[in-house]
Amino acid sequence: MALPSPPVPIDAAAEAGQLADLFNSLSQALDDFRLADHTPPVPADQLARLKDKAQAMEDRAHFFTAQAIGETLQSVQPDLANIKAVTAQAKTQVTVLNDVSKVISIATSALSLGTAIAAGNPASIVAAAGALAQTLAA
Amino acid sequence: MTLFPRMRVVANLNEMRRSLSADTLQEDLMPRASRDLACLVAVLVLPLVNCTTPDEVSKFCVSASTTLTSASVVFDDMKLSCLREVNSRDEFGTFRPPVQSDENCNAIGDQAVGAAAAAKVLSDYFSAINSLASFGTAKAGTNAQSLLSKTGAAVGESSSAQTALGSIAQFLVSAATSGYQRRQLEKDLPKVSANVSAVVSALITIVHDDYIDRQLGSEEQKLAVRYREFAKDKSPEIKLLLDDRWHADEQALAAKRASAQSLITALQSLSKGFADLAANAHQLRAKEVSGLLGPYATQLQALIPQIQKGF
Repeated sequence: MALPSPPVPIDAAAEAGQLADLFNSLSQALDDFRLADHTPPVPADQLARLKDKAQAMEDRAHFFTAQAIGETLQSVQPDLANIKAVTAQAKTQVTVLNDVSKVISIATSALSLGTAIAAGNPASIVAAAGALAQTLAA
Repeated sequence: MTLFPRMRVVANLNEMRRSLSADTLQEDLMPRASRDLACLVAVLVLPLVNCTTPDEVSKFCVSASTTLTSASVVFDDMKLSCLREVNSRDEFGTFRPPVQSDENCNAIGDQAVGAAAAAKVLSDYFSAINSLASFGTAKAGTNAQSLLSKTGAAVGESSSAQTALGSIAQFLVSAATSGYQRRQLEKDLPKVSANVSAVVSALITIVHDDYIDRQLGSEEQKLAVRYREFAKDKSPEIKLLLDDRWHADEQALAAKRASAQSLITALQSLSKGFADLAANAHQLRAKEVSGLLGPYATQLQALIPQIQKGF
């Protein structure tokens, strides 16, 4: 029986750059949400939470920009497309939602994914990507 | 290019033969064997002492080296832009001193230091070529291996650019320690040209994708958020004042983008000029070298102040 072929190496720098762009877009979407007019108005404490999430998301984007995660991305290569897809979907949902609780849930879940990627634990990354997908589907 | 234009060498050789035969090497003063040996020595030494240095090679290399040195202002601003962005999270009027350090900005700073180190390796390479073209040997002294330990953070430890940097660093060390001479250069140029191109390409990606698009783009977005947040529910007068300040900030960012774009243009020119030089290393005469490299050197010299303008 033929052995399975090894995975094709990815362009880690390009992948890290794409993740940085995705997290930056999500951060911007959160800022746009909190600065927009909502009816009823969003309570101040929730706006503050959204601001914190947006900034933490931006921190992740900086980390990815520094391309410090090449090795991690290599280890989750089979799930990379899914990770990028759910992150992009999170941003899309934030731009159309009016429910601040749901936006905060998505931001929290996406941030967990970013933190897992930065920590470099493949199992945690895959679990966090799955959790974000569930949050989006709820 | 020929670093030892054949016509000049032949002319000089003939001149020396005439001189030799007129003076000390007359038939009646020197035995035939000694005379032949003297001619042989003259033939071997002539290319090293009498070749004409094409000024344009030197001019091009100096311009390339200066361009690469001036790139440091762009790389330095990668971390500074990140810190400006972090500081823009404070609302106007909080009057807190700006943070000077941030974990994630430091990671970007490490990448920037790596990019600057890669530029320095290339700059040292062009200085060595200039030295070879001007004096016949590369000047001693390089910290190429030390620089190489930093470049992986910017171009990737296992990337083709890092391999290329390793090759260039090896050349620099060997040029400094083994008396590398310019006649070896013509042979090596095509090989090194591919390495220069790989490193330049990686630097352009960092400047374009990571700095202009990603970092400055993100800084601009967050700056806009800061203004929008503060302007909410403010009077039209205050909004007009903020608008003026926003445009000033925008101009500063545009100037940085323009400078970085000038660096990209310069890097492209430098790479193309060097590739042309390498491709024609065995074919061109001094006058043709001048025609080939002159426009590149002129363009680089014009771009250097533009690179520094925005900082």
